[in-house]
Amino acid sequence: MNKSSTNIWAVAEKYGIFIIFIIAAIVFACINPKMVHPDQLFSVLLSASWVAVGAAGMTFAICSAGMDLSVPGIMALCCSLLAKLIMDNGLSTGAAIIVMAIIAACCGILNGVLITKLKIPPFITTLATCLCFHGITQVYTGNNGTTLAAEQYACLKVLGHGFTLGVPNKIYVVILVYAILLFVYHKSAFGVKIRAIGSNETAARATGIKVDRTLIAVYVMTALTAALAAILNVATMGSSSPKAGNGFDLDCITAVVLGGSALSGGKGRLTGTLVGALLVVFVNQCLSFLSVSEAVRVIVTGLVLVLALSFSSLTSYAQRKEGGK
Amino acid sequence: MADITLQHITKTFGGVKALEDVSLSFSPGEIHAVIGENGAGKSTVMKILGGLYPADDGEITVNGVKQEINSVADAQKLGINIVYQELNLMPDLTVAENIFLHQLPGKCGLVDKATMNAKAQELLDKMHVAIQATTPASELTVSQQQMVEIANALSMDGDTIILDEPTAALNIQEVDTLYDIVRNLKSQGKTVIYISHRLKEIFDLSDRISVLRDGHFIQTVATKDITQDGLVALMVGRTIDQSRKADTSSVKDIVLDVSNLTKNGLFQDISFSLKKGEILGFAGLMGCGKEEIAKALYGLIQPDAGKATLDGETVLDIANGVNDIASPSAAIGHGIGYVTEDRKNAGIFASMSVRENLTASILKTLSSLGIISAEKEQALLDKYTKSMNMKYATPAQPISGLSGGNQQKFVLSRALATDCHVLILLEPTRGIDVGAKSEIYDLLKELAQNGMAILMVSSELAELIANCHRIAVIFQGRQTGLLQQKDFDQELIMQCATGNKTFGMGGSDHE
Repeated sequence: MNKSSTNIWAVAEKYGIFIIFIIAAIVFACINPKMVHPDQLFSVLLSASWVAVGAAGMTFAICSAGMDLSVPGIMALCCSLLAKLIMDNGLSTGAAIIVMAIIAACCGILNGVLITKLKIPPFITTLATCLCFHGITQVYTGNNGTTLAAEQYACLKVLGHGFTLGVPNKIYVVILVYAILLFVYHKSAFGVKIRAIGSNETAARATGIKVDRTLIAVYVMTALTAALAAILNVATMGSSSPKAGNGFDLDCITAVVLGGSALSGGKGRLTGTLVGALLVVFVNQCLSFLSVSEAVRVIVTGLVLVLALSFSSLTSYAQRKEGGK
Repeated sequence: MADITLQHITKTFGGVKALEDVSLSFSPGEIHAVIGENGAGKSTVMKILGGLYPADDGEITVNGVKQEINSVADAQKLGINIVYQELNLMPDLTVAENIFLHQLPGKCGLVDKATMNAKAQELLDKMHVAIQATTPASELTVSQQQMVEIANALSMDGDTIILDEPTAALNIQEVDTLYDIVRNLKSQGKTVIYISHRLKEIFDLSDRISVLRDGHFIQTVATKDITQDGLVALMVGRTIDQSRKADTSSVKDIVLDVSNLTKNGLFQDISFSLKKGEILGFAGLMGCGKEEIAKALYGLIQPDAGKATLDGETVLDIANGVNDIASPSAAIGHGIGYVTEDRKNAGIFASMSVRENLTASILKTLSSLGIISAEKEQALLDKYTKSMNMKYATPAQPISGLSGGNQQKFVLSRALATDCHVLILLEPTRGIDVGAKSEIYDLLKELAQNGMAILMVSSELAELIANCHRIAVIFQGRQTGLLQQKDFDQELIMQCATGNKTFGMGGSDHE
């Protein structure tokens, strides 16, 4: 009705993810205070690294009013490529990463071209290509994992388990990724184009924005963040598994949605995504701490998502009702 | 019968007063026009009456009883039905389903299709519109959609009907049909609240006129007691010259020369030339293909045949496989700017800021190594804010909160920012108020004087006559007229637009 109540809803919308996080923390703390012990929280930070990185790319896809469901396939393929190129083909770690990144980028270009040139909806396109990427991974690996030998693992181990100035190196990677992408989102022409396309594709085209080219770049970006997630995964595990990406798509999308980005496009919220990724991993970890069954874990994850979505639609409804003209 | 009184209504949006102490009263059996510039608050009043927004303060009485209207359902219970300016039909449902969606006839959750179709058809026939109730809404023209929206409001059988810019999408015959519908409602003793920017309609139809300005109620007058000029003066607080013609001194050499442009099924053999400093109008009835011709020159429609040269250089020669303006970005590269007729769906980025809505067309120029320069962006915004007299709270404000006139200024600025020398405008003043209209006309005049070649497609004859140097007329995809300024005449243009006559087509256009 008046200015202050409008502001409450705006604040609630903006910081809703933090509120949900705190509620979740209190609930779990009541069940067992050990779950919010600093050591536990620190381990959340560590295990969230690849979801955080993957979700950052996903934020751009969702902001363009699209979605990339093929990230688990790309991640599985990249994990296997990285480990096998190093172990079977004798490539150095750096060379293996470059080859892997090029292949990941090609996967992204394939997605982008199918979406923009053949005009297949992103949801369907990436669902289909995900199956292909998984299949290719299985053929390539014979459905077996590859373990890195100590000598070849040394370099990646620094990334996966090393510390700099007392802070795990993985954390630096996540911070760097978010710093760069936040800059791209807010300050670059690419960021504005993505938001323009997500907001109104017809208008974007008529404005002279090269929509197809921009969208292809978006899917290359999600593929590259999936590849980076794969590097972090292999660096942590010291091995690759063809199942590495299972559930990765859902975790990433959940993180983005929890973070307050609009699935309808045009509005992305990267910092929200980061907190969303932490929340997803936190909830998962607490549930495995409680050694509840997989079924219960899935139910709780679903409920968290429903809660977050109701919250965001409630706040935006309240704002529309009072604010809009 | 409904006597509706609004007293001391106040409404604030995020600190901005949209309405302040507005009092209006509507009586049964009258056609009551509500008029005012964009941002004057007419739509807000109607949305409060229709239950979309609650008022902050003030009271509404219906037949002397104080009422709280908190939802659309509340308003409908009081017999108040609104036909909104925006078209909101479900494209995959039939006309009948769209009309009766609020209350599908039938039992136990099953729809009685026969009854529904019959009732819908009866309603449409009574309105004298030739629409089949079983047609899917997606197959309707824009004006037919508008008629179905009106049928939808009538189907609720309330005592009060609010029409918000009902003729924006209608051609002349359809406007006549609408007049009949409105007068018929009046004779049934219903209250019709009629919002329009078109003064002629208001004088043709209304019994009384209420004027709003800047969220304040100015005056209610009996229509017979006021002149057009007097009304305009009440609306804007200043007088606007409505009888001017464009100055031809700026017209110079040919910039764009189009010959035999054809898109099968839309338009055939369109030839014209556009000169530097000239405003060339395109007139024609709804659906005649005039918009599509313009779109073909901006890469939004790929023509099947034809040639075009721009500054003497061939940019389009379909027979030889040349189309250098096959996409909007290519057209912009050749210095062609474009402003859409469909601001909401193809013009603005609703969720984005006013600043980003301006700069979206020239991100490349504003950025180095892909990074946008905040200073250049601000400088551009400042430049157009000043030259266009744009009004907004902050550069970060979402554009969706601006009035139609201000939104249009942003869309126009965005096209101008590309440094175009040919400007294609579709319905440049659709859905904007008299004040903003006159500002845009002044701007077009200034642009032409500075050498801009302007192609202006419009459904408003008065606007074409007042601003253009020449007017081309299209009838069913073919050019039936090319009028020089001395021949401008509303009657003549209509004769050409309805296919009764051809005029000025002797090839004199191509010197």
